[in-house]
Amino acid sequence: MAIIVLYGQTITDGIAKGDLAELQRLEAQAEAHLKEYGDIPTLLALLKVEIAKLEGRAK
Amino acid sequence: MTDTSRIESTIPARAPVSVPEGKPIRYRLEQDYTQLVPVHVVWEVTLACNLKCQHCGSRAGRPRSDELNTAEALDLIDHLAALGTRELTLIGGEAYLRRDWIELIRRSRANGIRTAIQTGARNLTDKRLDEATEAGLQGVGVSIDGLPELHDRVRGVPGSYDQAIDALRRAKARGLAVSVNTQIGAETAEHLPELMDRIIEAGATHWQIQLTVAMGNAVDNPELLLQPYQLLDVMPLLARLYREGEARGLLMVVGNNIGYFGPYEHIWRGLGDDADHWNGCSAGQTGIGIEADGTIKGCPSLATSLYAAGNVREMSVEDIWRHSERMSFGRLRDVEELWGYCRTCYYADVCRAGCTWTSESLLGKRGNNPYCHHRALDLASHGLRERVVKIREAPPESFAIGEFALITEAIPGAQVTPMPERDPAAVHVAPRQRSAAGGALPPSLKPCRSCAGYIWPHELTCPHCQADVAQAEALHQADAKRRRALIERATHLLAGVMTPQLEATNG
Repeated sequence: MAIIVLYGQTITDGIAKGDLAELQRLEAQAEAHLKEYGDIPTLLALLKVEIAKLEGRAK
Repeated sequence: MTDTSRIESTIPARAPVSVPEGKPIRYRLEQDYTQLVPVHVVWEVTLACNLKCQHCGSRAGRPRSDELNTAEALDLIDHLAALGTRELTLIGGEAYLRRDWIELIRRSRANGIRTAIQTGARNLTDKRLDEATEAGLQGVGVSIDGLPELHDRVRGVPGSYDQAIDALRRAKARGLAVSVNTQIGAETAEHLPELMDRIIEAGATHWQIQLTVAMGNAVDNPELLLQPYQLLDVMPLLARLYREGEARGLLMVVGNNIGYFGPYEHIWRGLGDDADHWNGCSAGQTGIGIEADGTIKGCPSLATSLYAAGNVREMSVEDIWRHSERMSFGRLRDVEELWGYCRTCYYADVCRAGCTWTSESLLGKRGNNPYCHHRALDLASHGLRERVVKIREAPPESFAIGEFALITEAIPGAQVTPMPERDPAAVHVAPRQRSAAGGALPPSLKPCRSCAGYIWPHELTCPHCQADVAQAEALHQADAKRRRALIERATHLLAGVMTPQLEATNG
């Protein structure tokens, strides 16, 4: 129904809800993954390009 | 000292209540209103204080001469538990200057009540923190009103900022939930961005913001007060910091005198859940304030002279809560007691002029509140603004109020157009069903999905942006469905890649 926040009496046990908060949490997780393991799709595309170049040279 | 908290209560506590996931335990359920449950109790356990705050409403310093003794205090906790209290905040003065404060914490926790303290943190030593943690204390809210120079000046003690920040860190290290409480006065706004950085670094997870109110020492120092028109600058700043804080793990929580129904209401009142919005002062409906001598009020901040509803030494807290007229005013009031701008406002019946304490302390009569963003924006659109000027001092007592004049004037350089005449009879009044216990649910609004302003449920066209309400809602639902699908997909995908990471980390 409502969160009542009396003057000066802080809340310490609520968490942000809603789509925005959830999307932000997922974004942070995805960025953490990229930081840990790198951007696999981009890496894969670069690998394919270089492979294609070498394969072309070998012909 | 005898540990009387180990004497078991003979009063049956209520069954535990669950609140929706993510909501704080003080979240009000419908049954809290209908069954008249004092969900959150704020208790000034002593008026003794070791700070000298220039804005202190209770003029704390020395203890009251007749503060409740330990047995009386423990008995009061048991009675609150029986009434259904879910959260107890111990304040002062400074709560830990009361010698039996650990016993009070232990008894509150034994009753299943979430228990926290709100503190200035001066001399909140390791020993005190250890004892409180061992007794079951769950949260520590530290008051910090700006960067060091401003904080120390307002709090009246050099070095108090450093002690406050240090206490945050030490409480966090003990596993306590830690939050910061900041009052906004005339000088505070420019400190907020850097203060946010500092409290995040110190480990705070929640940051409560409210406006300094014209009571007690603040009446003696009116230069500390924000002027109502300054909300035009402060509110966008708060909204920006809310977003930045959210992304950095700090949840800003706006207090009851920040409002109302301006462009940011849907963002922060429900901590991101736009179904929640301001729905009026809760004094005497779902909350209780207690003074150290056992005086009971509907809200801890209200003026003692006007709202002392009884004393637990003379009658039970149950009887005061259920039957005192000074407690029940909030359950019975209606739009007829509003005046000035608030009387004819679109939100009159749900808002009831915002925080009773803020408006009454300022103007000497509740029901008209210039500290309102919706109102400040409306006035500004007509080239007008409001400011307050002190016309009467406050007496020396605790929780004493003075009086301020409200001045409406042209914004320098702006073109003034007259405010429209609004008919008081045209204000929408929502019917309220009163329960057998005497409580009633406050009305609920819905957000317009076009402009995000709140509107009454019967509206077909948004009175703020003139959008077709149903059409905007349909578009919103389609957007929401798409977002939920993305969230589901991302959650599934990341669960697969994050689990090995966690396993590797845990190793």
